[in-house]
Amino acid sequence: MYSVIPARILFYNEAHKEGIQMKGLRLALLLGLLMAVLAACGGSSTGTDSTGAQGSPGGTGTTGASGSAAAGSAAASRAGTTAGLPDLNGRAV
Amino acid sequence: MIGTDSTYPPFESIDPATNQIVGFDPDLMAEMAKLINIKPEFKTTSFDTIFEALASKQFDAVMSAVTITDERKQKVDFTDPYVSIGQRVVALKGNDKIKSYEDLKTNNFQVGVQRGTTGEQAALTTAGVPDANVKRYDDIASAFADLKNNAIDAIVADGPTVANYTGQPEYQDAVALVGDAFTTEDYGIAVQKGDTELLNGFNAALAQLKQNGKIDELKRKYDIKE
Repeated sequence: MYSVIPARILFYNEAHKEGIQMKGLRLALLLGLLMAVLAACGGSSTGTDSTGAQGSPGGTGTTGASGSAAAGSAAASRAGTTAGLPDLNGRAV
Repeated sequence: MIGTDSTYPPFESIDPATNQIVGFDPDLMAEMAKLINIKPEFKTTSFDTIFEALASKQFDAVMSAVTITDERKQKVDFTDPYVSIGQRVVALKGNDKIKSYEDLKTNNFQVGVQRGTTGEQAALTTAGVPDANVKRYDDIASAFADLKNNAIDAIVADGPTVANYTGQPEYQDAVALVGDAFTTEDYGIAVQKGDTELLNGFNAALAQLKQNGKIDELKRKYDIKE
């Protein structure tokens, strides 16, 4: 019965759960930020791909999966902005 | 560095106001550069030796209204085609004896061409003009000047370019297009043999610009009719 659970146990459980959630959120935000920075550094150089789009999963990232999405989108963008265009790295011709 | 003969409007010519090379080819290359991240720079050179210059690495590429031919493929590699054109004839207005390219081999007509071009080949082969009656010029502008001065009877050159010259104020009262195009040719960008990085980049960019309509937009801008 709920009525027989001592209040301090309830408080401890809620506080503990909240603490875990806070830690998880911080970790997710840090991971997301890291992935966004990595994506921005390794991503756009053609000028046609969207660094913002690569970084955005980091901003909303609450799980580790969001980081790999960011890295994946950066790789896809380097391969050529949805059209498979190569990047000649500013070659003078 | 991209080699070009900048006397060939509407594909490439010098803007007298800015002294810059302008036209369809530089505009198209600028669009390609944005897509594949290159920094192109055009340099004027003689068309007659342009492929030798490319093969000896004086240029990274040649973009100069160049027709893709098997003979040129022996020296350089070509991108996919980006424009199709045909050879056309220009004669003095009022010359009733030249009504098509087939008349050029008659009457001992003197026919002007640009040296090293497919226009020269077309005059000699398809039109059958005797070699002695073919007058070769280093640039097509000189041929037009001679035609206007009645030093030659006709010119054979790429359709869009002769149409451009014929419409210029300096020539529009003196010369006229004769008949339709009598060859079918494709323009491509030439690169050094084995430069697959540049070749693949150019081809990918051209495919994108064909697909998104940008090349058609440039053709309309420069009044290039295929």
